[in-house]
Amino acid sequence: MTASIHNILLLEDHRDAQAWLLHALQLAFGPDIHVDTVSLLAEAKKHEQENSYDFILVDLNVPDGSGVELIRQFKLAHPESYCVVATIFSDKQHLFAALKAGADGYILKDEEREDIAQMLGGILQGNPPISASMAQQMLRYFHDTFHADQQQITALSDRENEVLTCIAQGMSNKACARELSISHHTVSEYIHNVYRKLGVHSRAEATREAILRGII
Amino acid sequence: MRVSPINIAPRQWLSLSFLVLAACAIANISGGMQEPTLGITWQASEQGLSVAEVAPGGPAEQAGIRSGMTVLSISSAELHQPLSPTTLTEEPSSLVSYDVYNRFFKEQTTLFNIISSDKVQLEVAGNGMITVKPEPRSIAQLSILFWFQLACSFVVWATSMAVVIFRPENTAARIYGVMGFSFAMITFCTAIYSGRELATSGELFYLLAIGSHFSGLMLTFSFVALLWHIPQQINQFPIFRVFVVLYSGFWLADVMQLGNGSPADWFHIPVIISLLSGFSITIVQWFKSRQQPEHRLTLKWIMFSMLVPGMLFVGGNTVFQLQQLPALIPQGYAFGLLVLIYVCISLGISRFALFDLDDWWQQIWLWLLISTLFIITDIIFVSFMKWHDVLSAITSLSIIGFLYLPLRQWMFTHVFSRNQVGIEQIFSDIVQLAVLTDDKKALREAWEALLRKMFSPLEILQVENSPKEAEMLRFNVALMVPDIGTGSPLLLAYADQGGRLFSQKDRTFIATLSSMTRKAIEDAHAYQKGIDDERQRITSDLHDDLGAKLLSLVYKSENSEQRKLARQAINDLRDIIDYNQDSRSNQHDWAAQWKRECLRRVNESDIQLQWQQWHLSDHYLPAHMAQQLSRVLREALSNALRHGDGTKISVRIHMRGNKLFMSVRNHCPDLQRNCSGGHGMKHMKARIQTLHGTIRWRAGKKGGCHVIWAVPIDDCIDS
Repeated sequence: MTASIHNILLLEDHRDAQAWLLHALQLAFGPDIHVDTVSLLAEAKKHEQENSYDFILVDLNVPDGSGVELIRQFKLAHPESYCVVATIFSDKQHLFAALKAGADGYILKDEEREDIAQMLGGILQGNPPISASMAQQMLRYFHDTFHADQQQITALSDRENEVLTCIAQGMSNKACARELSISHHTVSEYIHNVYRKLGVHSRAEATREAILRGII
Repeated sequence: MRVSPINIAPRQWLSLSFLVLAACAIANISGGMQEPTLGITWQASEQGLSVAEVAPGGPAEQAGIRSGMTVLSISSAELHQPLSPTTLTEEPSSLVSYDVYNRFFKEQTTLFNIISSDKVQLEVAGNGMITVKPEPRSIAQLSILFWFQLACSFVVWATSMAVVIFRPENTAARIYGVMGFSFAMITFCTAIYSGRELATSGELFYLLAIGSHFSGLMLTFSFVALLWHIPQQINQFPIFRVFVVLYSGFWLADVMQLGNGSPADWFHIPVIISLLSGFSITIVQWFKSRQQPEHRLTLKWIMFSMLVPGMLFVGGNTVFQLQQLPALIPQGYAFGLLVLIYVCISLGISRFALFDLDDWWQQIWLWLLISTLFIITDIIFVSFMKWHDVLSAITSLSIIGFLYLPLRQWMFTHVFSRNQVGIEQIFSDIVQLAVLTDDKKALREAWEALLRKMFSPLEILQVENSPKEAEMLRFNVALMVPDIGTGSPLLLAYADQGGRLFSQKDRTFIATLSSMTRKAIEDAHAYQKGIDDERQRITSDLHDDLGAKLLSLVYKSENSEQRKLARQAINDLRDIIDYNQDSRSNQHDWAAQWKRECLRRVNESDIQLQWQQWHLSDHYLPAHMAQQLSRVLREALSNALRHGDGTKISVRIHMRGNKLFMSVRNHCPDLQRNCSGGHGMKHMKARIQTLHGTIRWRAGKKGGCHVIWAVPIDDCIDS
């Protein structure tokens, strides 16, 4: 990665935000930096192709498109350079679209200049500039996904739990069928479902799962 | 329906078979009418025959014959024949020896010739000779036994022909057809001779007797062959052909009068062989079906259908004939027991899909029944009651139309109908399903509940691979239902709590229903996507315009208080947009979002938040509802912050019954100020009313103001 930052491209269509972010950049990387400020995506793409930037600060929603396109283009051409999003959007759709495109950071531009500067400056020390609320958003997403997956994978129906109990007690398919008053074909189908849901391939593994689940 | 090899539709085949049946019945009736009548009902007596009954106005009554008289002999000008109890023998094959058997037919010929003459002299014990003038027998004078046997042959013919015509390729169905044909032939033959008044021409009698014998043998071996094939073919052994050869041998032995025994031996020996074979085969079938409950169920039905009436027939008639004793149930009436076999098997056709036939078969059968009923009532009126043709036809039609059809409808509705769910109910359920489009778990549960309501299956299994169309499995015990978008196709097993098999009608219905439901869900999804896209566009615009202005406020604010206010406005805007985007969240998700927002707001004011939530479910909470609740919560929290004592705020969210309860409580020193009316409260009330909920403000038990609102969850999902 780039060791120091001199050339910066700022894509921002909001005039006040331009000044705010420019100030934050200067606070972060010193007054000697060179910043090209553009308000349209097309201009930014052109600048990016014609110049060599160490860092680009990108707004996501600009009049002629999405800043995500610039991030993608920039990171493909200069994977070693930094690219950070400065936006007002705090939702996960925008966050993940930007991160997938290759963004190295994601900050909310309504934050205090000093806070923005501190986050941006940390990038050279390997601290990704991410607003606290966005970091929380990411954590929440992965926690939710994890729980949803767990529920999806391991939710056994009542009947499947009964069949698992029978298997764990060492019963044969026939004995299990007698116990539950169903045909042994049906028992086989339930066992197949239980194996699939638990990701196991033998009665021993299924028994271990039953013990772990506190079924027996 | 299948196309028969010579391109005649099954219903036409059926009509044709009934024409044949009608021709046989006419031949039968004319055969029965050949015998001239004396107008006497005879009964066996120690000497000759006694008169049990005299037909009013008949030749015997006119000649002065009275019931109770004993007739010793009967003679014409040329012929004379003493009478004995043997004269009334119902079934000649039950006679003790071939000598008696042959003598019996000669005697019948003599008697027939005597009563065919103009004048007959009866030698009456104690009264001398009485002259009677025989008359031709009319249709009304045919005996009840004759008609009973004819009716039996009709029922059996109709049942078995309807099976074999619709399933000519099915071996069991063909054998069943042979069984039905044999039975009809027996009753046709016996109806004439067992329904005779005194005598039938010996030659005709003999032909009918050996014909009846042949048909009887055919019936018994096809009975065994059917057991061989149902519920499953035991093996490839050509049992039917073997029996044909073997039993033809028995029949020829009888015709050639081989051996010194009784003619009955050549019938009873094969009957006993058939019974023993039937039992043995049943045991084998029982053993083979030990792992197949559907076969076992079919076998039990077949056993019940065939063995119970069969045993009653043997016990009530055949055993007595073997012992040369008068039968407990006369042979003609005992045939009624055998008819039960056919009736029971036909009832099993839809229950157990016998011969691979289905419910529609009974519909066809009923069509036949209705046509026949019309003809029979017409014949009764014309022949027996001497009504005019037109009057008779109108009356028959009226009886069928006003009595039979409503009765049939009633039977279908109250006796045969399964616990069916109305189509309106199904459509209403599908619409509710479609509303749940985003919540796969709820969708699967609702779909399962609908299927359970419709078919009452003992089992519903989730399977992995979705069939493209509904499929019948395990000999119609199970029905595979295609996926409707839940990601898990279902297998229904044992319809009506195991009481019946799935029919083709069920398969077609479920195929239509699942594709319709899938379409409804897709449409609902497309509709929801349209709403989401539009909402996205609006919120994005809101973000751009309002967001940009608020951002300028943040940047240009002169002091931190103003900047803080502007930032709060931006965060509020973000929350609104987040709520709109998170339209697929459940109650837990929303509670988590609300908690985050509340925490952020109380932290800014340095107040402690006491958050409590319980009994929330994983069910999807519609976005429009969550949004209203969020705004009410936000307003309540703003009030609590504004008027509280700055120490603590409690927020509670929980489900009770089908209602979601939420409350906010602060520790306000001035209740009046806190809970007084105003725009905020008015708006909160209005929002909760749109969700059909209630909201109220009251003084907290430990002080402060407590605002509580509750909204029904189901109502909101449906709306």
